Amino acid sequence: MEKLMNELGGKIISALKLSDVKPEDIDADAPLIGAGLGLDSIDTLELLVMLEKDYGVTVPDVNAGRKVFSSLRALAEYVQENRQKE
Amino acid sequence: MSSIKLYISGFSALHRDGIYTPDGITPWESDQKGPLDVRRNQVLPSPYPSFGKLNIPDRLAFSAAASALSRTNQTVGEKTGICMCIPQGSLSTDLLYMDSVLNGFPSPAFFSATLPSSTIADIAIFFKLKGPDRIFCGGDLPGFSALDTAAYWLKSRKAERVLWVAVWESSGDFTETPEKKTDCAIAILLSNTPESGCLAEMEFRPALLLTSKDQECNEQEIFMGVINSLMKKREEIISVPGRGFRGYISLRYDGY
Amino acid sequence: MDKAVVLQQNEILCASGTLKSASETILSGKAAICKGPFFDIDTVCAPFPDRSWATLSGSVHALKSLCGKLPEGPGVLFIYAAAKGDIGPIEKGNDIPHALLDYQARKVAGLLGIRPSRIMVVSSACASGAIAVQTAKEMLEREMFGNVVIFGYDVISRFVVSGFHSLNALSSKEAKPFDKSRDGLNLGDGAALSVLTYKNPSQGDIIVAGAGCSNDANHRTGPSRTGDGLLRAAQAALEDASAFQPITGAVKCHGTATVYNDAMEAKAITALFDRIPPVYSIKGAIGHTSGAGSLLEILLAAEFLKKRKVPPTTGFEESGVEEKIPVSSEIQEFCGNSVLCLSAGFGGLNAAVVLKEHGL
Repeated sequence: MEKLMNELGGKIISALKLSDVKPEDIDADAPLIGAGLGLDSIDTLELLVMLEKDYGVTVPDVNAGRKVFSSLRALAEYVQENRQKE
Repeated sequence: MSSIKLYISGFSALHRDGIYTPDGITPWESDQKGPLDVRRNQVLPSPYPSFGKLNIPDRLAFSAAASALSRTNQTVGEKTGICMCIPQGSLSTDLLYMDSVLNGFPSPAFFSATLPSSTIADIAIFFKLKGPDRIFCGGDLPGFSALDTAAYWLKSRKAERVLWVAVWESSGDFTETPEKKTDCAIAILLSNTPESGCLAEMEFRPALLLTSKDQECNEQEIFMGVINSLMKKREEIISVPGRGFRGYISLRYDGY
Repeated sequence: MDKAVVLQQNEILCASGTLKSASETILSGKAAICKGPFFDIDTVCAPFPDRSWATLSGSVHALKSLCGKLPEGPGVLFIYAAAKGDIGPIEKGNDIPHALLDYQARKVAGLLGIRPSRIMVVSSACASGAIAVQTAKEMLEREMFGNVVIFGYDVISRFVVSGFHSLNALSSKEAKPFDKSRDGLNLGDGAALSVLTYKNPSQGDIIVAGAGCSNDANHRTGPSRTGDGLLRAAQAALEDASAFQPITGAVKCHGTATVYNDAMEAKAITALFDRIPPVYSIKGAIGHTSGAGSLLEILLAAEFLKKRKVPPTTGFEESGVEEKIPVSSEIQEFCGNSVLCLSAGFGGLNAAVVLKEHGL
């Protein structure tokens, strides 16, 4: 799980081209959207594209999306459960 | 047509030699080839994670604007507008977006930047500039059109301040304009009253020359000339020939 | 008598045809929406009925022949108003420089044969047309030009359909502006041509009485949740029009049928008026025609003003916005002498134009 969280942290930074942020800066249990990383709704949509492209994972609706992006740990758990690509 | 008096309270330019500000020219570091390699901390003191995702035209415009605004002590906001000249529009981002479509995964981030007007979004959002905006992305003399609009809005009190921004992109293979020589971005903060921190007074005279005579005009060169004059506090009158438009810019520094 | 900016010659192309036929169709409540899929995406769109219009030169030729003689030569300003215009070169990967709006503007000016003394390209996303009208008004009032010709063009393409789809902004059904079950927009083809001049208006002339714009400074694509940006643009336009003493008889909304736009617009309109006049959106009838659209919708608003009618909001059945705004659900009589036209675009842009019929 730690490995996947680090990997996802790196993917978030590269998919969204975040500057001034390293994977170790992302708090595992803090919300991904809004404060901190400053992610907005377009970033969320871009992350959904990344999840589908790199992990074959889709998020069915907005409510599921809120849970998935509630933290890096929640995202990693969702990917672990649903991934289709290695 | 009468002239309009404007006051400059901030300016910056990103050019091949480096970053131009009222403090001087900061040359690019050894690993930076030019304006496209600008780093956030060179133009903005505070962290800004979104800086990295700015595509070329957005990065150039935001960097010039940030560099000009973060050095001024002006309060900018609701009555500050933006007038922009961006002759290449969002074409480089359009091509990136189209690639993502052809790869089967259309990118919402790229798509949201595929408009010439997207370039002002990050500036407006970060600095909370809520006034009127106009974006000239082609046509005759877009830089002077943007300056003329800014001057008119300030004179008619439609805005208290206007950030004039010009962006020229040379890296794509789509640039056929005279300004194709170098990537460049310039930002000048203009107001209609002299405020504390005012750097110079600009008198701008827009006059119409009704002629079909086609005269090429390198706006990048002319406006970098304005920046160089501002840096050296050189009094100057710069005139502009052009098809269907003639104006001049005069710069003075008494008391500033 | 004082001079005013007059909409002298106007013509449009949209899914419901040209200005005359489209205005009649929209007043009758009919939608010109076609079932998809479009580019493998489950959505509906409103394409031109005549496919020869769906190229830049095709639209120019059609509008030129409908408009008749246009002003030309010294004293003419040409403004090209488009969000993306002709995307063909980007989609085909050929002649990339032809995708520059500058190239397109010069091509259109050439095809129109107007030999303008100045060309401007004013792009403001989906508010491009309204901003072009504001620009024209300023240039004419300052007497920098004698006539302004504005041309707008935006069409359905893989580029734009996939883009709005990636933002979850498209509906898979016919758009329902301001409705409880609205879930997104339908894209449409649009082109428009207008000649504006500054003169002493005659009885019945439609004048551009006021214009204003602002920025939400909130989000790259989403509008501000409070509607304060659009409110300020509308207030600026009404202030600009104050010398003409407009009595707003209707509001032509941006009304895209996305959840956020319509909610925001309802807030702005409620804050603007003590007594809210009928409001309408025609995007349920002819789709969202992007940058060209805000010009096209202004010209249709002028037509409805002349006919003294408020069109129905095709697709609207039951209000789905918090504020009680009188969304027109059927054709009704127009009371007042002016229409407030609202537009909004990516980048937080808001634009408002006030049209008034002279002599009322």
